[in-house]
Amino acid sequence: MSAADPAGRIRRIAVALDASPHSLQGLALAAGIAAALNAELEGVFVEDTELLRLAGLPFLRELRIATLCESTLDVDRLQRELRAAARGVRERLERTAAELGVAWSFRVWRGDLEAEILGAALDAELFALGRIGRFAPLRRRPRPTAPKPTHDGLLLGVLYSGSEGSTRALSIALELGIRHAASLVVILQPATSADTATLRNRALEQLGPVREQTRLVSLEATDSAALAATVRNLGMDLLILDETNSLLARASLWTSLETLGCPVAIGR
Amino acid sequence: MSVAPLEPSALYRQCDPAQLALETTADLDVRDGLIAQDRAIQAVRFGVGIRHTGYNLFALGPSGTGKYALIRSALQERATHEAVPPDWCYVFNFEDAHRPRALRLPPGKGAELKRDMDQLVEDLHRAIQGVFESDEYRTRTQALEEELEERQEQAMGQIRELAKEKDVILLQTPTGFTLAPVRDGKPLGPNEFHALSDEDRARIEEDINSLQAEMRKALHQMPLWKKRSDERIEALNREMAAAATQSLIEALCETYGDLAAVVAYLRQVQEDVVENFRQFLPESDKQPPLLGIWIPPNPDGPPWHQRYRINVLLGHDKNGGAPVVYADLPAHHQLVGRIEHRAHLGALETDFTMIRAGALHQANGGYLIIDALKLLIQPLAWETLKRLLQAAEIRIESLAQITSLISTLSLEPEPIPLDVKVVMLGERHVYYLLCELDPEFSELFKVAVDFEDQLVRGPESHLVYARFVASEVRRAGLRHFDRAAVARVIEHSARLADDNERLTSHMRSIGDLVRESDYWAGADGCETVGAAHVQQAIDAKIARADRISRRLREETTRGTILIETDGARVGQVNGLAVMSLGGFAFGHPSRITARVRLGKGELIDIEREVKLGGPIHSKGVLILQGFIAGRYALDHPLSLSASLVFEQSYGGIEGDSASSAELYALLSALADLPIRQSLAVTGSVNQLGEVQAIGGVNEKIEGFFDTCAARGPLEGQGVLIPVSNVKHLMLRADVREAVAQGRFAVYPIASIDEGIEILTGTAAGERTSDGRFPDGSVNARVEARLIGFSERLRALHAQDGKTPPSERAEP
Repeated sequence: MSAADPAGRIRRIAVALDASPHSLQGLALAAGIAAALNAELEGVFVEDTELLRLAGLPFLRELRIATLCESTLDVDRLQRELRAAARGVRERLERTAAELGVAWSFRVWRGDLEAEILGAALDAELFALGRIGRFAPLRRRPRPTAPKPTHDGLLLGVLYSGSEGSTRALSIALELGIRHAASLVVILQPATSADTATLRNRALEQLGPVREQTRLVSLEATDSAALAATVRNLGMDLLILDETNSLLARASLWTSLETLGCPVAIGR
Repeated sequence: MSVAPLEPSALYRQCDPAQLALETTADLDVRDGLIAQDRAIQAVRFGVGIRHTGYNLFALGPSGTGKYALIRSALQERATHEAVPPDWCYVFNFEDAHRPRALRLPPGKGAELKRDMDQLVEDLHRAIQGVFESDEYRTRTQALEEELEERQEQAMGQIRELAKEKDVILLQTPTGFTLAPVRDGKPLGPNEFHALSDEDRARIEEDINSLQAEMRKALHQMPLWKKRSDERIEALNREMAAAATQSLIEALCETYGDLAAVVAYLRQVQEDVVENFRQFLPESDKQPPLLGIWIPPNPDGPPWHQRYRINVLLGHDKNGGAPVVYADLPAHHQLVGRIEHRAHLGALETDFTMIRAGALHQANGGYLIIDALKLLIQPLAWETLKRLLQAAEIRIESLAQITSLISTLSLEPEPIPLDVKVVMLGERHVYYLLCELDPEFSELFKVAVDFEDQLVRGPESHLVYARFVASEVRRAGLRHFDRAAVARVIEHSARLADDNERLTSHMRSIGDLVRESDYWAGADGCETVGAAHVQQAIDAKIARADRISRRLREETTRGTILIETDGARVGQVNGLAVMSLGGFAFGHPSRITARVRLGKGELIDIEREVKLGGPIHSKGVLILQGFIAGRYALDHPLSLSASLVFEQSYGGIEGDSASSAELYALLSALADLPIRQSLAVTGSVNQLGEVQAIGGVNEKIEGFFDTCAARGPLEGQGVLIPVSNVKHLMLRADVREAVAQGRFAVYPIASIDEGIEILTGTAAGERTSDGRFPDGSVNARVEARLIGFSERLRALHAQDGKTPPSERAEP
């Protein structure tokens, strides 16, 4: 996979997809960003082998939502359904990309969902991720976004801890904010409260000419609950994290995403 | 018993221009110039004044007598002061779309309501879109949706938490949910599961079954929650739509507060709009393409919105008075209105906006004038008119519906109450036929307005005519007529009436004469129309139409048609006939001959035998037989066999005006006395020998005059006419001049005896006290001939040993 080009421009944005409305919302978001950055949009669909593995347990039942029918898990059927879902997602991706004039590609990965997603995230310059597949939200529809009285565009958040990775994430957020005409919120995550001012100055320095339009928010606590509260309160559409962020650890990936309540973009 | 020919003054009654108090028609200030028809006007006043069912009017009289103009004028005058009828609109029927409702509105309000409703639809668009795009609506619907989502999420979350306690995980599949055992956060596959102890496997299975039961229960609740949520959202939608609609409808209700029907309609509109608010949202404007073809949007707006429009079937000017309508094409659909259709995607469709008014709608509350003949020749139009007048309502139905030719679903507009006074115009025979053949006619048209076809000639009627000429001049922008020209018009009117004591009321002919005179005055470069121009117009009109009469005259002159105009012949007389072709009548002489011989008392009319004689003609001939039988040889059987014929007549003959001529020919033949061929005869005769009036006397005299004149100078020719026709004489100037110079004569005859004397130059003779006619007289010769026939017949029978039939003893 290609890395970011020497000028630091993001050339490819990947987005994890399934057939749920949440995922389609993420697709629209990623496509908008790809269009703004003139980058290629890549859809990633994972055929979850863990789900297929469960078909070996005959006492498990699958309950369908729309028809309220139930049946045993059947490998062949599940595979067909996953392929059908992939096809549907691909068509949607193609349509969305065509509408925005964005180059696109689509890949189907097969394996354990978490592993494949994280693997795909490592492979992209920017990876948009929401809860998908067997870990999709229990809600059928995405939660409506809160009214944004001060602006009409996207509200992007970036978690900045001063690390190299978070600096890279901030620069991605900055480019996105400028290209995408989005509002930017920098969430400062100092190691200690004493570091807050230093961290703020470094962030402002990096923000340069857009510092006046950018809001800086400090986290009071270091846990994910505090971050989620901030994200929710501000009504963020996307939170940009660097790949090394502990929230993206495999064991806590889906929990973190559930807690945050908004898609994340993993920048490298 | 000698009868003197008429003086020239008796042949024509002039109109003295000096009696006319005008120099030219410019001196007369006239508006309509209608001919006074006092009886007709009285009848019209009565007919329009009486407001009961069935008192419609039938104006009867010859065409061209100004019936329409007079009726229209009289109705217009009255209608101006009458109340303006209400406006009628058709609106959508929200309860039954196929039966549009009729709305009655005060005059002028129809168009107002239409404008208001058009505006309302636009306002509703804005208002409804506004409320459904408002933050309030979005927030409230999202809140309701969120509530449902949260409830569902909560239910599934509870399952998930329950599962977590039992080392089971709730997972999503592409189409639903499933539960799986989990160890260290990772679902157990078949291998790991089977590696567990039996006890653990059993417990897990039991847990999962129990959780699945819970999940099943939760999932089955969800459709119910969804339904309730949808109902609440729909209620919210209605609330929002009602809020958007309320103020707009209220404003209109206030405007039309005094019109309960309109307010009720507006309330229905309000309910319908709330019910169908989605039709006002932008998505509803989009029409799906059909077979890949984009259908352009309707320029009148979305089809749905048509239902809120107003079809002003009939709008009135509130200051206009009652309507007076003339139905120039009284076909069924022109009377009752029609429902139009438009082609749409290969099918015909319609709605209440395509209902169109008919003449009855337009005249409702006022007067409708219809030409009877035009009405009667239109299929079912007369039946329809009667039915609607009887029902007192206008029901719009097509002929196809009435005759059940088409049974497709169509509109049935609500009938509109009918209050109209119908005036039918027609010829007299149409009126009498309707009276006789249609019992309903007399029920519905109780007022007969009978137009005179003649006016009594006198100073008053002369003035009326002058006014009429003046009005025609003004109306058509013609040159003014000088008094002599007006006088000539009046004289021609008397000629058209065939009566020097009457004037025609056929004003169309007079109007034509006025316009044609103006043309000739223009051709002469005159500023004013003079008598010469009027005469020129009369002559030119005759010249345009007299081709047949000229041909007949030519053929007579050339000897093809045998007519003698001098000398004398036994049993031969010149009769006079009138032919009328294309509105032009002319007279022409016909040779009538009679031959007699011994016979059985029969008088053979050859015309009748070959069925060329009409019934009146045959009647006239039979009267001759009665006259002969009743006058001569009363003690002897009538042993005559006579034949009468119109020579060189190859068409039908009708009328009894030649019966006197036939009698003269017969008497001449019986008396063996020649008849002067320089004379022609007209007049009917009765059994007593009295000569009776006939029609077309002027044409007959002029016809014989022209025939004689065409052969050379006139030398004492003349015509015998009934004395009772003298008052009808309005002869041409050249005829009058010839009479004045003694070259032509017109003899007024009262009896056959007077006529036969002139024709034969022999006295007719009256029966003396001894019962005999004077010797040598015509009648004596006739009687002697008949007695001779009788005795000869008796002698013949004696030779044969038979008794003549008339002498046989009665049983």
